[in-house]
Amino acid sequence: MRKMILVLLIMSVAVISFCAKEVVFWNAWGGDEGKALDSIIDRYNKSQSKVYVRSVYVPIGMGEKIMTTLSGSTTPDVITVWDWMVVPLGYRGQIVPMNDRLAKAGITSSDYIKGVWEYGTYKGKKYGLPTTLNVSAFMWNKNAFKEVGLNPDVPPKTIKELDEFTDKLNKYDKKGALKRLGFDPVISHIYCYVFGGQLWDPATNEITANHQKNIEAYEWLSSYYKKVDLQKKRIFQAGWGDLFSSLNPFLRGEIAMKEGSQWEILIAKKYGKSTFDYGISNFPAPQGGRNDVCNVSGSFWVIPTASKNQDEAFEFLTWLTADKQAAEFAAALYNIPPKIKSLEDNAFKTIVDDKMKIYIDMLMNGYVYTFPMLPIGQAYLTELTQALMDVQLGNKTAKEALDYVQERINQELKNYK
Amino acid sequence: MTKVKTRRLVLTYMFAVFMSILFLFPFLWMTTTSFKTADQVYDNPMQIIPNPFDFSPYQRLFTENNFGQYLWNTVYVTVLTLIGVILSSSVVAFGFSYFRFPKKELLFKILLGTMMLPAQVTMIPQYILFDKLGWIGSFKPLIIPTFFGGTWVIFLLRQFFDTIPREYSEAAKIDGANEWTIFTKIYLPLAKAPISTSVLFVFMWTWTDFMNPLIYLTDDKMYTLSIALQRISSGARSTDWPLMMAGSLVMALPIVILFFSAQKTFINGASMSGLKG
Repeated sequence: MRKMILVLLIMSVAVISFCAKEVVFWNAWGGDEGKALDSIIDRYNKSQSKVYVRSVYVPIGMGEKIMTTLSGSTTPDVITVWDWMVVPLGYRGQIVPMNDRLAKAGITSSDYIKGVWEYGTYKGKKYGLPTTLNVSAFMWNKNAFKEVGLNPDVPPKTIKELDEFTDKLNKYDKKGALKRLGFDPVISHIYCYVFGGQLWDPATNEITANHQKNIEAYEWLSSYYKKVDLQKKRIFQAGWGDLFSSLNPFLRGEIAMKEGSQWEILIAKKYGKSTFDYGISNFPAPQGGRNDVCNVSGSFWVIPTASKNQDEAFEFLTWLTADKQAAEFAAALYNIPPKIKSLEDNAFKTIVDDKMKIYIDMLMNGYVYTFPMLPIGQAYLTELTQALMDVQLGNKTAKEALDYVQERINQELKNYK
Repeated sequence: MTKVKTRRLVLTYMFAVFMSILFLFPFLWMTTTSFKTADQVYDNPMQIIPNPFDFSPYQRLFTENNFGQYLWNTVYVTVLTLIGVILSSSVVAFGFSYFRFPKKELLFKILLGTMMLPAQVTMIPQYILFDKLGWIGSFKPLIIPTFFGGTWVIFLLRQFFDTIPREYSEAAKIDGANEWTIFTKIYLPLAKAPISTSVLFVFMWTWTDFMNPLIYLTDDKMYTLSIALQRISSGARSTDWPLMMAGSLVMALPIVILFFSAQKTFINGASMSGLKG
């Protein structure tokens, strides 16, 4: 009897030790991108027997499921979140800082593209690993340039030129209805940096909404509000089609110059007519500004505090973000991998053409910035947007509006010390 | 019929036909796109009739994308929800309508008050509750609460029950019927129309519900159609439109069939319960 119990005991220990631990991974991508990530994960599962990663499709949306799940006790082991969610979740203690584990695994800032290591970090705590990077650059339609007599190969280099080109490229029909928009700045914080300003001072850990250069940028941004009659612009834009289709307004020549990300190269290849020609460059900048601004955004992989398999989850993430896998996944998404060596990987090189090279060059040699990652980052963005609206509508001067944001957010930040 | 009357009738019909085409167009586009190849989707000028007809989106839907499983999950949750909501709500509505008890109206107002609470407010507390019960990752949070009544259905049925003359139940009582018999033999058979309306609405809400399955289900084999559809569409840089439209059609078809087959009862129910003037 004793022998039998002993044998059973040994057998059960053996079974337990041979059973792979399950790591639940929330994959936020559907369609082909999701399939690409799942096939990478399959490779991981086949490469070892210690951990089995179960990939579950969970769309991020506005974080409804993520926020709800993290308030309970049953959480997955790795979650995909938008960049703006990382610090608020980390601050609330719902996801774990990775500093110690990263140091132990020998992963350092030198592995990452300059400026990217700090991305997802707040007060020295690194809460997640970026999945891939999304970079914004200046795009112009060469066909439209030719039509108005501009050199199609030379984009505007200064803000003054950008204004002149915009006026030339705005096009109306005989009845005065808008037929083409010259330029429409959408991601307003890019221009704060282009003008030489900043929204956050990492040295003092303070927000700098009312930086003199930000005020100048806001004054310039509000001038675009007056360039085209608002009602006409709204009517015109209401007819714009889906970005991910041949009805994309840039591909159809409905907007001549715009901010555009690297994945739009794929959209242009897929849906643009063979006659469609466009260029990509740095953003035009005023004198004393920055002509190499590179805005980065994206998503992150994080580990919930309530995860019971944090070590296994981190080990898997180390593998998933290793040079080769990062390169493969970035290529599937038409994004840029965050690690330097991944840029040289053949998997990524398959999507690198002359246009993608411009984005990589901006990222490697430019002034890389991300929107400040704060516990109240979204509130800061909302206030900045409201401030711009106030300036555009003439309710406040740029200085008044940004002074208000500075005071309001600083006041709020005091609760997050 | 005078000429003026005929002309007016013709114009009215023409307007009705025009409006029908306008409203039917998205549905038509969805249906025909689901039979197109990816290249045909963006044909300019737009082709309504696919040439050639491609049935592969439906094949891919049920093979590569596991839509059969998602369809079954959705049917399972919807049918049980319907049973739960209708059974429990009709009993509660009968109670509020038939019995006289202290603070009845106050209780009813409190019940209606729960309708005013936005779902976002109760989402996290409810999640924590189900988490503590160990229900997360199962269909339980989607189905079991429905057996405790649906406010909207209770309201709708009570409005109708209140219009049933008291004499019916009194006559039944003289014949020896108890409350349960009155409910099952008199009230329920008379409430066919409002119950059909409730079935239709609850079916639509449950069939298309995205948020609850998303929050409570943790295994994608258990997902419902709405999440499966989102999965197809969220490959933003490579959306497979024919596949997406095939999925949308599979999802929309039961609602369309149910609506058209129950149209008469539905409109009757809506007018009898005071929803329609």
